[in-house]
Amino acid sequence: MERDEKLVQRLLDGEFSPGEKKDILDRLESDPSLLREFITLRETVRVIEKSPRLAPPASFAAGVLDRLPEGRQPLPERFKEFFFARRMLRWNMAAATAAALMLLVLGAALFLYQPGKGGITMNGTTVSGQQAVTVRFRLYAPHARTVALAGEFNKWKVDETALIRQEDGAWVAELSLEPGTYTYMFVVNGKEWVPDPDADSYRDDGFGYKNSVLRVSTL
Amino acid sequence: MRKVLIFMTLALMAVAAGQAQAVPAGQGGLRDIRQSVEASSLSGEQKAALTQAAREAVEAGVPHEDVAVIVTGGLSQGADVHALTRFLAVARDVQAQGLPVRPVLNKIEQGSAKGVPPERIIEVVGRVRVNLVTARDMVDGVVAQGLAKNAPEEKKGAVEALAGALERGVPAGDIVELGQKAAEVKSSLSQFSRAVETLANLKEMGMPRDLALKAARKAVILNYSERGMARMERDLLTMRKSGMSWEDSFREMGAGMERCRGGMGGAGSGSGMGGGSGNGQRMQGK
Repeated sequence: MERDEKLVQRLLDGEFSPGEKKDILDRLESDPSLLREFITLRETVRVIEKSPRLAPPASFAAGVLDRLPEGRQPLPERFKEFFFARRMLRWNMAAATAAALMLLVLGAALFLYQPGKGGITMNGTTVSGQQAVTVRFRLYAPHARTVALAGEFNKWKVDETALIRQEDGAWVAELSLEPGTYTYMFVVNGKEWVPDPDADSYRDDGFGYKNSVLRVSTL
Repeated sequence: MRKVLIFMTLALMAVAAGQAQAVPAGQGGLRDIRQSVEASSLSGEQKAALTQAAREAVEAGVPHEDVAVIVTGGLSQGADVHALTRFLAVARDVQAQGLPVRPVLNKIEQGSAKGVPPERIIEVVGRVRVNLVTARDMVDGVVAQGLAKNAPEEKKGAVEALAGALERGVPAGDIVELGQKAAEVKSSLSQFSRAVETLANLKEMGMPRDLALKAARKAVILNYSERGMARMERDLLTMRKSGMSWEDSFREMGAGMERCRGGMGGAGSGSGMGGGSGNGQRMQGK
């Protein structure tokens, strides 16, 4: 039976030699059921051949591929494929509007993240984008027990910047400061406020003291 | 498309989380302040009043670091609670008025550190506040005359610069005159405020008032940048230190400015040694 079906298919496909054709036709004459099957198949083929051809939509292939289950690639490959593979994005207005709104919100968030000084303020400290300059402070005070530096750069805290005593009796400290103008004084032995004798200029602090003025620049 | 939207959502959430991370810093700072107050020997009522004043200041926008310095520094020096709450109230009010709060905080911190009586600090802070209000009116005036204001922060910077100049004894009339010149040549607000600072710096260095004003005005007319004005100050000081009189220094500088008209400026005949002044010596730029 299976052999007969194959013979019928080969007859319909035209895949036979002249000798074989006679054998097939003899078989069809001797077997009415086989003949009926042959005729049915032949009619079916004719109907299909006469029916109009419909062109599939352009996204047909992409849609089929989309439905196919994806094989599991290793993570680095998937990462690479996500970011660098060429894509054709299909948009609708809702998706386009959502994407545009997200970009707007992201841009606004990044813009508002800027503090005044061209850096980012996080956790209460300022990470500055400006170039810093190392400034050396020196006071000759051989009889002092302690010398500290207090000024605008450390909110006038007398216990934050201690100078280090040198062998010659001078006291020295180095600070990294952004360009700008700062007022400061030395604090000797924790209580005596002393202006810098080598400052270029001084400024009345309004309390009766003369602050030293430091101008830091990158010039 | 879905993956792109998911990715963008995650990025947006990361930015929001970053901002949320910054928000608790103020609350964290307040917690530190509260702990310092609790650890002090003040009465319960005093602690409550001081904590309340600190919270109000932080909530108004006063940097919590400065509030902490005022409170903890004041407590360690045995300052009166009433004085501390007054300091915080002044800072809060200045912040709420939209004025730059940094000059006020600087005076309070400085006065407290130097052991100045609170009443004196309040008096000085009052003068600073008056200067800030005057400066704001002046800035509004020059903006109305046509000075370009590129960013909101520019105005605050200008108010601070002008208030500082007034505090250093620069006559208001000189600032107004400089503002008119700046408006004439269509400077920006930041250029104008830098010129006012230059005027104050030159005066502070000892330059006669009329020469300082001429120098600042010339810098405005020649459209000097901030860097150019800093260089001009430095060169004038260098020439003065080398023994030249202010008049000769200014003349020499003026000739140099004309030669370099329209450039980045500061190209006078002074060699310029640069860096920080005072005993601070510039070591290196990082």
